Amino acid sequence: MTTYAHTVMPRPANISARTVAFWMLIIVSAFGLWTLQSDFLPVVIAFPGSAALGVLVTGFGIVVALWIARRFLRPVQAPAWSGTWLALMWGAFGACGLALVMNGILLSAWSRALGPNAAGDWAAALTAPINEEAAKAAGVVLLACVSTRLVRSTADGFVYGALVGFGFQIMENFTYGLNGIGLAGGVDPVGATGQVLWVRILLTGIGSHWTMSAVAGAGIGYLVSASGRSTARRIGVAAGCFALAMGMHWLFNSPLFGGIAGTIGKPLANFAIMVVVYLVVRRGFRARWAAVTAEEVQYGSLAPVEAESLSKRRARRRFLRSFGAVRVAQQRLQQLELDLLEERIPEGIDPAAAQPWRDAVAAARQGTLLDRPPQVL
Amino acid sequence: MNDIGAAGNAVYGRRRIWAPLAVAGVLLALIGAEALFARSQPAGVTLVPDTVIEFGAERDATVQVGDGWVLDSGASDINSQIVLVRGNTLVELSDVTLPTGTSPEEMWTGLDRLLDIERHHGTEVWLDTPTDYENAAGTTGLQGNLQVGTRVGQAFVLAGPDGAQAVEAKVLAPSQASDQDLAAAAKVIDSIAFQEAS
Repeated sequence: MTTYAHTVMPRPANISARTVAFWMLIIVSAFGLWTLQSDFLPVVIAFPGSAALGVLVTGFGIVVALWIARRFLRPVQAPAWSGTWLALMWGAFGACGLALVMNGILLSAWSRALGPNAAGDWAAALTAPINEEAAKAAGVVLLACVSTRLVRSTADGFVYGALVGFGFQIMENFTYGLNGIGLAGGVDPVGATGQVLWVRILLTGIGSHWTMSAVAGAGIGYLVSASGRSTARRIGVAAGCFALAMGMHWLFNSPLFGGIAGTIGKPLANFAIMVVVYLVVRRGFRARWAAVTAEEVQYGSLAPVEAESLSKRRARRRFLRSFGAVRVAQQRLQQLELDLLEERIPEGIDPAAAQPWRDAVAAARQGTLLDRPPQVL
Repeated sequence: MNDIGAAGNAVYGRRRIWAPLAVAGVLLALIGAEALFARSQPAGVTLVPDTVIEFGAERDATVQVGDGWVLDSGASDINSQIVLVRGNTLVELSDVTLPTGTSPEEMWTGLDRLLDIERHHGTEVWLDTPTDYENAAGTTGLQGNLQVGTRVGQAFVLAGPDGAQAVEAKVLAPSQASDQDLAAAAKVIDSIAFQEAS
């Protein structure tokens, strides 16, 4: 009898349904969806044309959000699909529904406390940065609690923060589009919705919720993953990023710098802040990536020529093209190498703990890697 | 400090239970604090007789109130809508921005369509056929009888000078509302005017 030695591909789950955080994400999102439909379903039924336009724009927004977040906002590789959908769901339903309830309370309180004129100018700026940033940031913390694999670096916190923000922004666009009908007196409802969506997507979309919660998310990612840093420093960075996100939101909603220049300039300022934070996050991630890549080359897990191509999407495609017909096998090997290096990103993990991933890479080279354990007959 | 170790992130073990509960606690505490703050504020602002309120996105619509009116601050947003209350009579004024050249009839149709939202909420709403209207300030538009649930009254659309702006007004009161309150509401509607752009 011939005995074959096989290695089984390691497949740890990115999310665990047996966690408090997972069910909080689901239950609060369901509550948010119920709250949103209570307020907006009658408007949708009364103005189906506007609702159809909103749904169309929402679909387009989801595609654009996925493309930006998964293609650009995380260095080296896109985030896990499971985390991507959970983040979008929380932003659209959980955070948006919570914000609807909380804003209703606080906006009304500011109106009474400040008087109608001052409240007209400042109530939004004194409400949304607190309630909406708290609701969105809660989602990133919950994602970090769903498993220890989803948020393992500052870059993970950044990209999931952006995805939560995208979800929030897309749902808010839909509801504001419907609210626009009332502000236009019910005359030409589809035109009124279109005008609101045009402004919110083309003029202010570049620096709205996704930029703010990406910044807050980066701080949460640092808080839960910056191994070897003091607790005070990690809390300080997280609080600083959250305060910066609130400040960005405050500026966005404040009556300061009004007019068309302010409408365009304030989102651009938020976008610029987000880019600066992204560059800092990316620099840290790439430095760690380079360090673990060099170690794995030393261990013999990666060939130097493979290691050179791994950190950039375009370089990986170029490397694969050079294999011609056997590209599929090489692509699988490349993904295993990426998985190995991702496994090494958290600094506190013992390099020996990544041995199953090293074994998988070696087995893939030899053609003895199995997706699942072989059935015992 | 290394509280992360082999887990990959700091939220492992018992932290995976208390960290999400702490998140829920913070959100509930925030909601509670805001509700307490809201409750500590007065329900409305009693207006001095002859107060002129400027409202709307450009604050170029004006209304003057007489004696006994309270501005429901919680329901009002000076940029779009103000709600005035006197006894159990309610005056709701909404500033709307329209496509240039919108006729009063189109505004009335729009108002009726907006009331469809209330109808789909399950409230019985009835809006009468409108008639021409001109108030004491010289602002023209349409008026008609209105019923929303158990409250009855009148609806008005008052067109701005260029047909691109209007004030939609609703006066609603229970059927047993006092004549003084209804007369005071009529005076409020009579005072609605638009300021010329400076």
